[in-house]
Amino acid sequence: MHLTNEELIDYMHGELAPQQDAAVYEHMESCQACRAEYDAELAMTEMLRTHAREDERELPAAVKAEIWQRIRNARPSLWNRAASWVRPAVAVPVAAVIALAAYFGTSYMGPQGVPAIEAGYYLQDHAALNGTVPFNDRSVTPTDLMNAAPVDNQQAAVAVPPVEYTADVTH
Amino acid sequence: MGVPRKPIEPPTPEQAAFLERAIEQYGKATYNFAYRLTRNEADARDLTQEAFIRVYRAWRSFQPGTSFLSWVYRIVTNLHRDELRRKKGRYLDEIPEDNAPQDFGGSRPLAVTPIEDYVEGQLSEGLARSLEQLSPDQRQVIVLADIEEYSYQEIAEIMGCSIGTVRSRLHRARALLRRLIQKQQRR
Repeated sequence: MHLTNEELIDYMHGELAPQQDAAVYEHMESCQACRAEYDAELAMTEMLRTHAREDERELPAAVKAEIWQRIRNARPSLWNRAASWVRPAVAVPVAAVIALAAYFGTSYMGPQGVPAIEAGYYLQDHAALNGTVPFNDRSVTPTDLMNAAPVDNQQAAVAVPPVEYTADVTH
Repeated sequence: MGVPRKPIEPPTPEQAAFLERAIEQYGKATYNFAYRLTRNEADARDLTQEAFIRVYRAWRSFQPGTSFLSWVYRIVTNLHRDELRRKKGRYLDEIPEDNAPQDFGGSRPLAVTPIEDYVEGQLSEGLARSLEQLSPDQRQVIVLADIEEYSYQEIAEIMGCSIGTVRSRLHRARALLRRLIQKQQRR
């Protein structure tokens, strides 16, 4: 039983499974007809390679020049051109709207949007600042302010007793 | 050849450098591959040019570490196939897509005359004429397997078919080429 030409072609291209490859090799060792057929297949491959080498051509300079010419003449596609026009046309109004919203938005939000500063916080802060002033005997500590009972200014003014200076007559 | 031309975007510096290097290193091989497929210089020029324009457009899709030449050959193959379809209305594959081995009925077919028997010049001429008589797919599989020495797996990727199809195409193409060469020798 001879080898098929398919087996010989696959063997020549190294495309047989290892076992099959070994079997083909072994068979050709003892079969003159298959060896001759294999040599003929090899000869045709060699002919093809020789022909390819002889027929090899250089890349015509015109091909390269034409490629670069087409690229140099390239213009952005219709879509990209449209996009480049649309970009500033959309971006400028959008930026303007954002700027206006930022400007007016803050004043609109004023009394409702921004939470009023809590009186306690303000007082604490104010007192803390004053309390850090060294040697200021007029400083009030935050706790003084926080714990101070609401005082009616007018009443307080009346309630303040006049300072009495009494002379030490014992001396 | 009338390969459809899509608009091209102006290049970035990296893209231009990529293309320059690609043409420098692979332009000649691509042109020769295109010529071996078409057997026609004008078509080979057009195919090569269009293939590198495709390379230029799709340069980011090339994965470093893979074979650039296989990529370009695949592009050339597809362009050539499209062109044949356009010319013929539809692309006709002349080879049946089966993997059945050829049956020689147990007897050996006549061996081709060894290369030494050819007179210089006759070889190229006779072989060139024989190659022209093969179908585009038959010619391509022979070019890729026997001249470019690609594996069946690589050829399958380039031609966009199964390994089994590559195998059967190559077997049939070689058998036909042998018959054609023998016919040339008898003249």
